[in-house]
Amino acid sequence: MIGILLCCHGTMAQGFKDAAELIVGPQQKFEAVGIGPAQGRHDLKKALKAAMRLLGTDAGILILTDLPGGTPCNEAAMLLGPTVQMVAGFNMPILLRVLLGRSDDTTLAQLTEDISTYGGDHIIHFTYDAVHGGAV
Amino acid sequence: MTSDRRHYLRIDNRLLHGQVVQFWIPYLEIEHLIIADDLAAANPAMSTVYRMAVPRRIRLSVVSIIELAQAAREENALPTLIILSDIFDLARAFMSGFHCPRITLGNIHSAIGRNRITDTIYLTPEEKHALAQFHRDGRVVEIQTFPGEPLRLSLGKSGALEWERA
Repeated sequence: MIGILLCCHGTMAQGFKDAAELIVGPQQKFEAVGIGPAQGRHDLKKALKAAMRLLGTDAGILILTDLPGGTPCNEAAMLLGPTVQMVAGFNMPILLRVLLGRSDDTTLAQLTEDISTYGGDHIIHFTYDAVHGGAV
Repeated sequence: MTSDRRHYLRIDNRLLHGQVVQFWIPYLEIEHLIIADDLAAANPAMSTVYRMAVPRRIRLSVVSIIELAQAAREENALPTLIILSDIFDLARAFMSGFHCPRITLGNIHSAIGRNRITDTIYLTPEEKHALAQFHRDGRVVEIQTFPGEPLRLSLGKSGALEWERA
């Protein structure tokens, strides 16, 4: 099964992991690492490598990072390989989709197909007029 | 040269990162970003990551320290942000003909042998010495990690570094 690795600023990765498991229950091969205010790039790289060892690269790893161009994204990008890919700018709909989309024979290509469209499609602006004004 | 007010220079251990992409680039309304770093310039994959992360409308140059003077001269007309990771890289750039009247310290992380100046800036005695020299050479040196008032460097009677609201 493909491993899912969250890598974000602050405690966001662990927070998303906790929140996702509240919604879909405890998950296998699911790790979270963060970068604190006092940590440098090298600390993050070490933590990423340790999490990747836990997940194992043979079955594939999908790294989800919070912000394109952020330090978590930049450092994770240096660890990519044929079986290790990254999506930067993930949200909760994307996270739940990839967690639930995994099976023993899912490929990384299948898991990440149209993922940015999917993430965008699940950002919905609830205006007062739409909800209470009968505009929909 | 970088005497134009629309040229900015930032020292940041993380080089391009979230704060820069999400805040400083749009806030400063720059059109050219120069990342001057020997390791980044020697790593094509890192340059590609930076290119993917920076909005397409912004010209991006990833250059070595020795190439910085030339890169800054070429794009004189565009509002430009230059980022280096280290104070001594900047000292080397000055020695190789780069000019810049104003230096902003963004993030310099804590480590053994470093003294805390603010929550985001920790300096070694050697770095303090280098900053004092930049100041004596007539350059403005400031700390500004986040939006808001910067802290500006001045030198006390004994030559000690003093940081005050600009």
